[in-house]
Amino acid sequence: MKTNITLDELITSSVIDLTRSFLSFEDKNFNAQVRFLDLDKKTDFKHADLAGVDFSHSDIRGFDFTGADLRGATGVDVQWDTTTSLKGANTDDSLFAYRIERDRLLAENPALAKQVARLSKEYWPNAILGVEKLLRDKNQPHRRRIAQAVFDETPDLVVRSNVLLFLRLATESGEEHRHFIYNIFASHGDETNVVRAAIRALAALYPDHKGTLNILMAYLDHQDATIRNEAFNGVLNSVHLKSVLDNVLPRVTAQDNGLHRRTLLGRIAQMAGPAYMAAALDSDVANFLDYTEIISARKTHSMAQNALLKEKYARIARSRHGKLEEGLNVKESEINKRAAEFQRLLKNLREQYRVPLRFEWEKMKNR
Amino acid sequence: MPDDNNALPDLVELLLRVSQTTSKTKELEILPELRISNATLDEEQDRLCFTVSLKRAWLSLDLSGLEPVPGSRLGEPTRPNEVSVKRKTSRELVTKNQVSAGAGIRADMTSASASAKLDLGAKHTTAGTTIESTTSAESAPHIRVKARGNLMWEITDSPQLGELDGTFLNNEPLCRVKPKSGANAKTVQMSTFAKQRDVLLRLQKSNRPFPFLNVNQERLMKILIVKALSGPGTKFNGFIEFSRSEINVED
Repeated sequence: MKTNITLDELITSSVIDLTRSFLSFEDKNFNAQVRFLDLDKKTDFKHADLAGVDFSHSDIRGFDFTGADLRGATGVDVQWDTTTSLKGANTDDSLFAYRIERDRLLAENPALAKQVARLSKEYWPNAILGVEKLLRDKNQPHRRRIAQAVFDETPDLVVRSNVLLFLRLATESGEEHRHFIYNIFASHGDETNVVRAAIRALAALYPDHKGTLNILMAYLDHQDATIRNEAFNGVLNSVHLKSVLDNVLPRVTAQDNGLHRRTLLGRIAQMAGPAYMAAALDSDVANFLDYTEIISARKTHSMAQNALLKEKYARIARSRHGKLEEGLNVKESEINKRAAEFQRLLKNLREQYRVPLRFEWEKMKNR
Repeated sequence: MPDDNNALPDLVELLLRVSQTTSKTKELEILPELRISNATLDEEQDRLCFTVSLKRAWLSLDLSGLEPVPGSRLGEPTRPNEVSVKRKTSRELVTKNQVSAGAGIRADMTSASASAKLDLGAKHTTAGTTIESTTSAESAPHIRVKARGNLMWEITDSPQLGELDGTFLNNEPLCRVKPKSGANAKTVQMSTFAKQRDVLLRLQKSNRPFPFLNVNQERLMKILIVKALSGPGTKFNGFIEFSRSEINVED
């Protein structure tokens, strides 16, 4: 028998209307989004696909994530506890992974739990030296786990910072180390110095990891300028910068930090190819152009002349037969040709990547 | 008389029949037809297009007054009792430079700084190492309709969980059942369901993939749509039941 039930009978006009308004809802906070959609934290997240979700600044206590896919879920300043159900959930490479593993280990090994409690209560130099000694003890298979647990339990900022650095040297598995750092962001979001150290470690060690970029992006709006700056440095060096370029470009443009703008233009030129790298290189400051400064024809002429000279020097050095005098002699027509090429490539960068480059010669034309 | 209810037959269609094997044993064959594809909803107002499909589905059999015949289930992922294991042992001399470092690091990010000693030492050693590696060679075909415990079958297209699109059962015996002694009413119930994480949602606008503002938006939108798919009046708990069929077996 033929039935005519179609999708629009289940996905009703009210659902579509909610969908439509949600698509233009710009608040990125998980709790705000859940409230907007009127989702039930007790039932609607069971067996859900939440891979890569950002839980930053969210309270997920009481959420039931039974059987959910939480791989790569990250977040800073996340409130969660035993009321957050993770039964059967896949938490690989997520902010939850580290704490789940730690709790299991300490529950199964009461002696380790005692050692953690003792080190956490020690006077800070003793605690630091105790952790350092522990990490060197090759006979203790759980040495890193114990050090990480001390990091969590100790109230002393100096001990925490040192343990983080020691762990950087002592952790062999990148995945395990990342889990630990994710947990720092989730649990110690209000401790500026620890967060800064964690951002720096994450950005330096895992620039090719997508989860790193997600974390760094979450810190771009942080109220503390030093944390913001650290996060921008990390984002600009991320291998995955291209995927967030639309988001990052206006933020960097709005900043006072010229170094970030120069770095960003360099990364964009790198994405575009070697010719673009040469065209974007400001030879006067040995860095890339600051795209908020107006670029004059004289500037591109100077950049072209320097680039040609550099190439000639390189050729002379390679051939052994060249003469320095010849190297210094660059024809004006050659410079003009290269400068025109640079101008064309910079215009391409503006069009393709929407970099707000401004050219003096265009202004003059408009007049 | 079979009673087949399919909530969204474009997406999942389940038709259930039973057939007597021989009059002597009174065994019945469970003969389902299962078709899975995708369903699309076009919104004309702003040219939004939702396409829903599945990457994994489950088939659940409930029996009343009947019990499964041992060894009769389709798609049993039976593990072979014997597997070939290759063991390779080799001994090699390894010359290595051992560097021992006492980590002493100044904490430059804290107001109070902690310093500890830094001692570096190097020694040159030659060590004999025995390397043993064991490899087990085993290849298993992918079973699309795989028998699981509790009278369930898992439907997947590939180990990579590609989109389900096709007929996965076409009136072939899923298993055999036999009457329990003394049972009066005999009923076969079968349902098809999916976990919400196994639902694929594609959202397009003007025939182009919709650019979600962030991952959260994409994931939560999917929960909203899947919840709607579970039907009005249903208490959603992460599962969506697409089909339910029932047959009362008469003697």
